[in-house]
Amino acid sequence: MMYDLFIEPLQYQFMQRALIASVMVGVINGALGCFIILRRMAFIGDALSHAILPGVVIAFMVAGKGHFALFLGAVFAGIVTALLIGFVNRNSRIKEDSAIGVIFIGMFAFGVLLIGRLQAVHLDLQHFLFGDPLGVSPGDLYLTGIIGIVILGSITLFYKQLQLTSFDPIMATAIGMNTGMVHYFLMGILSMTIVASLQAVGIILVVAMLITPGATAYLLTERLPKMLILASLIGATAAIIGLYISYWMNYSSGAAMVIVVTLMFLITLIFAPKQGVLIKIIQRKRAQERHLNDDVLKATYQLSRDMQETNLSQIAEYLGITTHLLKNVLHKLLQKQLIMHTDDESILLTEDGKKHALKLIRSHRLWETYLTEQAGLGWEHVDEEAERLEHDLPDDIVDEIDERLGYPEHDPHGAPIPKKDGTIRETEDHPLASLHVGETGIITRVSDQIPEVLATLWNAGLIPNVQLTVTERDNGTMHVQVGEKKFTLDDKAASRVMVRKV
Amino acid sequence: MNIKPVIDIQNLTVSYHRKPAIRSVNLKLTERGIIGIIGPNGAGKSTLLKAILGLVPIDNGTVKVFGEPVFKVRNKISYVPQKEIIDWDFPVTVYDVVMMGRYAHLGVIERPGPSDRDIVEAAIDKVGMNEYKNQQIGNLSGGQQQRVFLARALAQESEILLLDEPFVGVDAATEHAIIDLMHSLNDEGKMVVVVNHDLGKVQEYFQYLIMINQRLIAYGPTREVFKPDLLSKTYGGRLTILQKTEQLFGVAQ
Repeated sequence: MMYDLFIEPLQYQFMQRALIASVMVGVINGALGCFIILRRMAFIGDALSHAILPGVVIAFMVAGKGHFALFLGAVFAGIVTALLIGFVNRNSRIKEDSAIGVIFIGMFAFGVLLIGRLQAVHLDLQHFLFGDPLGVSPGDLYLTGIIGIVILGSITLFYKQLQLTSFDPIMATAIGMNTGMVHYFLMGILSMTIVASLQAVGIILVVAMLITPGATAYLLTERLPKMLILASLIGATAAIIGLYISYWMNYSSGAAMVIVVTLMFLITLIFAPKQGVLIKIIQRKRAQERHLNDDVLKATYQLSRDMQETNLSQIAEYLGITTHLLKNVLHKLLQKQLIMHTDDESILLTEDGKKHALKLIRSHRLWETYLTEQAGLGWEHVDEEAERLEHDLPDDIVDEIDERLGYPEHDPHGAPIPKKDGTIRETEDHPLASLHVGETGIITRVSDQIPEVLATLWNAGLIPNVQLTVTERDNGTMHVQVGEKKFTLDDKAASRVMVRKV
Repeated sequence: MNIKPVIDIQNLTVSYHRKPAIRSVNLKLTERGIIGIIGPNGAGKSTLLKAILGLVPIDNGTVKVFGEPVFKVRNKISYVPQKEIIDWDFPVTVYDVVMMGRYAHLGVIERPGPSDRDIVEAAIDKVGMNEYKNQQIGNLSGGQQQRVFLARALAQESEILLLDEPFVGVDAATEHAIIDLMHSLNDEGKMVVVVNHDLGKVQEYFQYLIMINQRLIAYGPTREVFKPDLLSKTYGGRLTILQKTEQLFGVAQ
């Protein structure tokens, strides 16, 4: 079976040559393509592949089907195109991409025109455009081999120059590298590569063999040498598979190779271990789940602290989530032994759960303190920020913030900050709403969920350590006196202010 | 005794798209100290650095480094670019980037040898990035990224270091690390030239100041030239900045 599929076709010499040519084309394009991608020259690569057509055709007219002439014609046309693009770009307000668009399609049309004149001779436009690997002659193979050696040799010898001019052209120039020369040199070897690829994939599709293997490799590695090797392997693999598909199913070989390499790219895009779409979705989901677990632990801690114990519906209401979702979360927390529940459906934190909750609260409250004191953010905005940051901070950074702030006891809202060892000094405080007329309290903290309420309280001067007395209560509102001033609060605001009775 | 200037700029004019960026600047930098370049946006601060490096076409005038045209002494100058111009997704590690500093000393097809590798390791160590040397540069924090490029300049073993806005977007720890490094380089007799736009720490950081607004306004020891009249000449009419500097003086005096 394997023999029939892969080895049997190789008894034909034309197939052997086609296979060797395709592998070489895959390797050369893959390696060179890496630099084309990193220099953001994909478009210029496409342009060049089309623009060499008139050079090839003219060479054919002058010298017949001599390989060296074709090669010279292509490189010449490639350099002319690169120079023309540079000229238009420098001497007019036309930007580079438009200059490329104008020049390459003009050159290509000129080439098509010339081919029309050649129809007497059997130069098949079809083959130029879409490739014909089964027609590879020993001479073609020879030429491709030489071009391959030149290109892979240049990449090895001038790796430094190619790397630095691609990464940091300013430094490259500053240490005396000729970035302009590197650019035109690349254009030159790119033209050669395209000539080498004409037989295997044709002008129209060659850019895919140039860009796609490199782009695929770029999703898989963060090292340039690895990217070069990987791209070459991907290019060669796609070329081989494409060739067999074309042999057995009689498809255009260029199209088959490009379809294979494109599929390889798409599969990598989805499944790549670090850059892949799938792993990113999974990571995002995991982060969301972790944040929700954290929020539930914190809510359980807060609620059971204020009211001794708590239950499912209280937590769901507090967090604004459905009880169905909450049950799932609680189930996981139960498995991790972070919570317990009693027979009467009360929910309690285990020692581990409490530790975890306090760690989050510590991170949250230290952030709030840091953002108000050091970053100068408004008191009423820091809660939202801290809410986002608290989940993902490593412990050592939290400890460093603690140290830098001088180990503060309270956050800006007056809530106690848990210590590094997991202890917390909770204060004996009650909501202001629970005070009766005539009672006096000192504000210990302002519960920090709603920015508008916080801003109102802040503007009124109702901040931690201020002493107030309840003067009057009626339906839904409460009147308090602070020094000489009198304020009216609705019950919602009053329930946010925690006081210690005096 | 006649001290030979390290950098000698005469009657330099540079323009971008026919708009002048620097006009007729004459400047002799002799002191091997830490030199700040300050001036408003569009004053030609970065252009001045690029002219010293020979990166921009010069309309008029000359730039000489150690008495020679720049292209003859290229490996004696290193450059730390602004962070925005770097492609942080590029597949290079910390080690790779620092190794680029050695390229100035290598022949066209020469490869880095053991001594280059030692110098690179030492430079990475000096900026405290040893732990991260095999990390791709995009995975680093802003401050760490800046250190990598400093290490690259160190590995180049140049006599002159030019830094373009090195304090933008770095944390306090890195800012201190950069300053410490500048001092230690200065102690080794190297000239450090820094483009900076935050006036707040000018007096603390720089021994000498170049004040520029297309034309050279002043050059001299910081305590002599960092004065309200020269600042107002440099920042001419930009009230907010002026007020800020006056406040600064209020604090400083």
